[in-house]
Amino acid sequence: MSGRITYADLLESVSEKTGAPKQQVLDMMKGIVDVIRRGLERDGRVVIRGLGRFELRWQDAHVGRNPQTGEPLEIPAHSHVHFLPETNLRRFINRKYVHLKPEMLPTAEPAEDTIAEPEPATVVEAPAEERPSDEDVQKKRTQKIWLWLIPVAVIILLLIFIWPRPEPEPSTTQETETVRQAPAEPQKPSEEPTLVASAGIPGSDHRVRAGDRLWGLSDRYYGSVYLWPHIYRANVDIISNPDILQIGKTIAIPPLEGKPGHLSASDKQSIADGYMDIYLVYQQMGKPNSYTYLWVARQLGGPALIESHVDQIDEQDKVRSNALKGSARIE
Amino acid sequence: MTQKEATDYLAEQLNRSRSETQRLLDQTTQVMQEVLDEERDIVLPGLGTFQAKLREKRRGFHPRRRQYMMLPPKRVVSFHAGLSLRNYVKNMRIEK
Repeated sequence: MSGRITYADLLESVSEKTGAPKQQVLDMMKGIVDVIRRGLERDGRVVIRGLGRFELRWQDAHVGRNPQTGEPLEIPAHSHVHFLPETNLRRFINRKYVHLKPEMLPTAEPAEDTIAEPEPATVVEAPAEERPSDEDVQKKRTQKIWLWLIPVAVIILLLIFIWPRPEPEPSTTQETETVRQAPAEPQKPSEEPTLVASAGIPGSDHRVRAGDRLWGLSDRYYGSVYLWPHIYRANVDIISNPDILQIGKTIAIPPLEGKPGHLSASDKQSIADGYMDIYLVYQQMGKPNSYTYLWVARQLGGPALIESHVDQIDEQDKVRSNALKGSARIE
Repeated sequence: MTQKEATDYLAEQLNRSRSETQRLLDQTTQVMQEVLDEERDIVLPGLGTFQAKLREKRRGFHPRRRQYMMLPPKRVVSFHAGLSLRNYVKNMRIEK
């Protein structure tokens, strides 16, 4: 139901609820109005239990505008009433929304969230542990992963019981599979309205809008966030900082021969070069995790790629990236 | 004016006991809360309009973490003073 409740209906409802005669309820209503006016006059402040606090606030004279014509308008100094609903009222009215919590969105730093940090391939909980940035975010993320895991585990258990032949393996492999995907997933939904609204066609141009990020475009055009260095590489001359896209600029979305999961050799080569470029840029910017990009570049491009950039690569980064295990899983 | 003072004043006006007044007041506000919960506006003559509106989810910024976040939808209760109340308080300046 919506719209306005008539005064008569309101009195009726109160009368029904309290069992008090209508006249009495009417007096009560008038009394409430009266007490608020009196209180404002006396103290500039009234608290009514069940509603909240009414308060006078002083507004100095200022120049405003006529909302219709836009003409400047001198507004004289005056007091106005400010109302703050009490906590109970806010809680009551929001009881259907309390379970919703703010969700952190990925920052303008593709590196933090998207890039194949070494762990996805090897250890299950690693994404949460390795990220030094923010404990809260991590906690939430791991919680989410667990929330995912529980139904999955239940279904798997059920399957095992119902299936005639017992097969313990699928359970473990499937579990790790879901977890691997999870770290990237939870942040998605909130971005969806802008990003997934239209899945783009590679090979076309893209005009940067607010909220666009390279990895987001990669997701939208290629269906995988990990291919964003491919886009970066095609636009090196426009993009100086891969973490920042300038709104309004048109960037090229280079086509792929294959698609994520079935990339052609030349795709891989180009992406490897992209990762190498990103490594070099990030290294210049002093990003602490730049060596992970080197690691991906080596996996995709092989030792030859490293060799060809050997004079630009930081020795320590090389050692650190060589120490990383697992696979970047860009195929 | 605290809520106790308000109740006292009301009790005097209505010529009833404090506890009885408080009970009636609580039940009245409870009905008002329920009406607001149905997203219906309440207009009290001589006072103004109470409204509960849905505020859609929106993007906010966490200044400490320097990170954007999606704030969930919620409902907000607002009160707009009516003309008579606005004129009534217009020239009241209360020093705190």
